[in-house]
Amino acid sequence: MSSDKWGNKFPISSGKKYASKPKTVATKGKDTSSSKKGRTVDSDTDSSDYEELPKFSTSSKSGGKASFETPTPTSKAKLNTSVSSKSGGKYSFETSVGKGYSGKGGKAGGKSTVPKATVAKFKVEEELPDNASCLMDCEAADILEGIQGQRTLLSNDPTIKLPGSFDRGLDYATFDRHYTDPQSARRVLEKLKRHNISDSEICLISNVCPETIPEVYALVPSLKTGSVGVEITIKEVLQELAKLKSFN
Amino acid sequence: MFFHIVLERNMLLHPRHFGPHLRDKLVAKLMKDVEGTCSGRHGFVVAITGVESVGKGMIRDGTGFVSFPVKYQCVVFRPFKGEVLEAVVTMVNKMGFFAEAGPVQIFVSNHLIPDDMEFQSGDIPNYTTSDGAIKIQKDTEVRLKLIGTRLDATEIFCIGTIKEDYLGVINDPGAAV
Repeated sequence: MSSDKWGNKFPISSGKKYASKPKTVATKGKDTSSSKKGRTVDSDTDSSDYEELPKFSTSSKSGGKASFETPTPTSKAKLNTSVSSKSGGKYSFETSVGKGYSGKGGKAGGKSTVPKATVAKFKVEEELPDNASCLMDCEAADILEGIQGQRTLLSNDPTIKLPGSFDRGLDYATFDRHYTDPQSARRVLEKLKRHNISDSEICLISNVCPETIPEVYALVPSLKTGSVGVEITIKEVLQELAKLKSFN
Repeated sequence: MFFHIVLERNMLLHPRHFGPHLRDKLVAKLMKDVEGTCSGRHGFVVAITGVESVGKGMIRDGTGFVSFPVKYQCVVFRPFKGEVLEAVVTMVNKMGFFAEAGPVQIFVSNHLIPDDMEFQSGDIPNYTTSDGAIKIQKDTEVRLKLIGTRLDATEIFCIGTIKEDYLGVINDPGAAV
């Protein structure tokens, strides 16, 4: 990816055109009507390779078939995609061998065709070692830019070369940099810790840079505790973060 | 999401590198070996930020190589299910679109694109709303939510959605033209 792609910065607060912003129920709409398209979305699965890939199967009006399956924990991950025409076509995005869940015309093994909400806890800490600490994108950008500067100085050793993932990581971190002063943003966000909001959730809020409480709840559903105290604190934090935003 | 993490690795060093600059050689080799790699547990190792300790070397039987346990700090990037990312679209087809967020590739199936967006083939394939106001094509920046991740030894691949509130296009390069 070229760096100019990411270099195209935009005012996050003003330039957004969310494709699905105004909806109150995200999955509400013509698409979810199983009678019409026979679509099933089910994202409750557990696997070692796939943390939680959705299973969904679709069958079009004209008998097309689509399946999107996850493997059994022992099966080797494999992604296959195949397409024929849209009307009578067959879509398959399979990740397992052997028998899977591939519904046809809404039969889907007796499961409901209404999509289940994918609200889940954002449990990052459980999956990482104890010595790992989450970084906000703006913090990561500072660190990576520092490293890049150092490496340029040390670049007389041709054997030390920054890998492609470094550049991509740096581009991503700088593109996503919503705050000019990461320390101040961190200090403001630390207030959320009073309400047992985890580091990862705090970083997610920082990275997403939401503007309103409904946006916070939509993007980090695990914060939706119903507690008035949490909501007040989030509101305060959002107000303070708005002052720290960089509009570059 | 980026993480700062302390990892450990046994580094094998050839005896020709022994001398006053042994540590430097070790660190250089560590960077070369580790940066840019990907592990299912930790994600992409983006950069090494420091070396905490270099343990005592152990000579490997039968070879001249010496194994040094090295503890190092690094920045890693690992995506998680439920994470919201801002990504750049790299390819659009009728199955959906691919996007990149840092070193991670994300596929958004057409089932996870809002229903009012239709696929338009042509020179620049895209998904467009019926009124043409919102367009997803190559280089469009989208905010998406990860609903699944596949972690390989060498690659991380994710499935995302933009079919939820506050997700979708955040910057359309075509709009400026």
